[in-house]
Amino acid sequence: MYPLWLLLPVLAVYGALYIYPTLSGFYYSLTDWNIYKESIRFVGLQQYRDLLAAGDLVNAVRHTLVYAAIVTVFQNGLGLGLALILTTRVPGRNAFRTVFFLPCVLSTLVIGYVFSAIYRPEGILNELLRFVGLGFATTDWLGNADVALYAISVANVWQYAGFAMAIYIAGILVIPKELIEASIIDGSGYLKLVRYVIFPLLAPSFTINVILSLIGSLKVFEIVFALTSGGPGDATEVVNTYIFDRFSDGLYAYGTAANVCLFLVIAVISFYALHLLRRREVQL
Amino acid sequence: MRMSGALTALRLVLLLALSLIVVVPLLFILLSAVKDAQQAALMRLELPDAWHWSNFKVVFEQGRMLRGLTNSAIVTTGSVVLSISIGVMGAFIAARRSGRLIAVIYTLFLAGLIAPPSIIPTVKLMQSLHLNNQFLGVILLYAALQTPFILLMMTGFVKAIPREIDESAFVDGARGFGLFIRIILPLLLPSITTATVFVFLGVWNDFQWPLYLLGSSDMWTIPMSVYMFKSKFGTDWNYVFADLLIAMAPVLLVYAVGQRFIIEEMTAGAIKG
Repeated sequence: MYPLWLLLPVLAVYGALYIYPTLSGFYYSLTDWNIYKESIRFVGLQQYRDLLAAGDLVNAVRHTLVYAAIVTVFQNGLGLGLALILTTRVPGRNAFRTVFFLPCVLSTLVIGYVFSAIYRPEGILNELLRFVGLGFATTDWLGNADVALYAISVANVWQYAGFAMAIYIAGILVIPKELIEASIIDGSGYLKLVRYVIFPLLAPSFTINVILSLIGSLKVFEIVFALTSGGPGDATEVVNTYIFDRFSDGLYAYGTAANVCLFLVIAVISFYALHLLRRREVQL
Repeated sequence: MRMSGALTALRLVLLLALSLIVVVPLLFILLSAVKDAQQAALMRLELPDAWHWSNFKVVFEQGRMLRGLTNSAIVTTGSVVLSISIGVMGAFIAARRSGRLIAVIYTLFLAGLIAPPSIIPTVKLMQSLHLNNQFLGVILLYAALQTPFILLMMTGFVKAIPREIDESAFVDGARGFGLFIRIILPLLLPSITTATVFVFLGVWNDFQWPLYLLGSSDMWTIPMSVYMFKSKFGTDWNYVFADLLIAMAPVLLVYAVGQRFIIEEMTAGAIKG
């Protein structure tokens, strides 16, 4: 009644173009594969030793982690805040929801270019800062190595906070009305209602949002590529832009070893986060 | 009552301020796109001195937007159709059968939802199969990358369909592929639209894989043509902005018509997936 061959097409495509290259990546990272070589040779952990010695991958991993932490925190904070406001009685709720959600359906590359104009020294962000009397805070947002990574994460939060918001709204709307009404009769204030009733019951939405923003931001590529391509210097180099640069250099095994490192970072962090979040869901 | 009225007003002001943060950048692009080059370079949020609507025409031709839009439509449609048909068919079997093999397969797809693909080996594999610079190649690759999400989500939906339905269809002679096409697939249509919205936006907006795989300008999808346009005309900001707007236009149009539907489907997709 349920023949296995119906599973074959999806297995074939997925196996050939995802599983096989990903697994072969582990092998290639142990070779001297590059654009100048006719044949490839097994060199053990040499590429990883070189990566560690050069230190620039470590740098890129650090930037990626900082970036992921900022994006995850602010995307969820802002998304949750918007969801809480938009589930109260406020005029024009649907219109606001539509506006906040809009950026996430647009192309990340396009958003990147929009922000590259906004962040320019003569751009509208600095114009706004001068207008409100914060002229001392103006800077070349993408050319200043101290702030460029943060500027990029803001663009990312701008694009995806509305997506987090939509998931939180869906989570809040399934909370039984009686629970909320009961605590209002109790006389507890709105903040207590959020702290002790809404937030705990939002645990599943919280898990989904945190995992999605973590994985998405650890794999970040397009927005960084569009805004700075890793610069100035290597101040905003993340792992995926690093891999692209090594690919362009023809250093295939070296870039693939960096890819394996990203694989490990994402696997460890997302499993650990999932474990923590699920345990929290159960306790509640 | 006055207290809560003030509170509502406060919330409204906050929401309006935040909406401005979303709207102003887009408005800025729109206004700058119809300026002349000098005024656009000033990067001011102000009305154009003269409205150069012809900028769009120039960019549409110079940026080969029609080619880009057509290519994106081909790649996206192909990826949606292929990934959803094989993914849903696989989900039907994965949901209905049990045992070790199915558990292993399920775990493999779960891993694909989290683990990043190994990019360089993937690109090299595509090149050695002569699948780079080909629509078929990127379509197959997108299908491979999108199926974990589709398979896992649809498995959940298939499980929600009672087995009794299969059994009564079986008595009527339907089995295997016929059972899937005639009985299961129609019941899954609502959730298939969810998957379609997800795959559509994911593929339409993707830039990373075309950058690695589509070297030939005849094959460029919209994000790729935007990238090339920006590299070539980077200082003519009015043209760059017009190009960005044309690139955004199709999705903006779809969103304007079906925003409520899209928000609901994407939320459902994220929660189930």
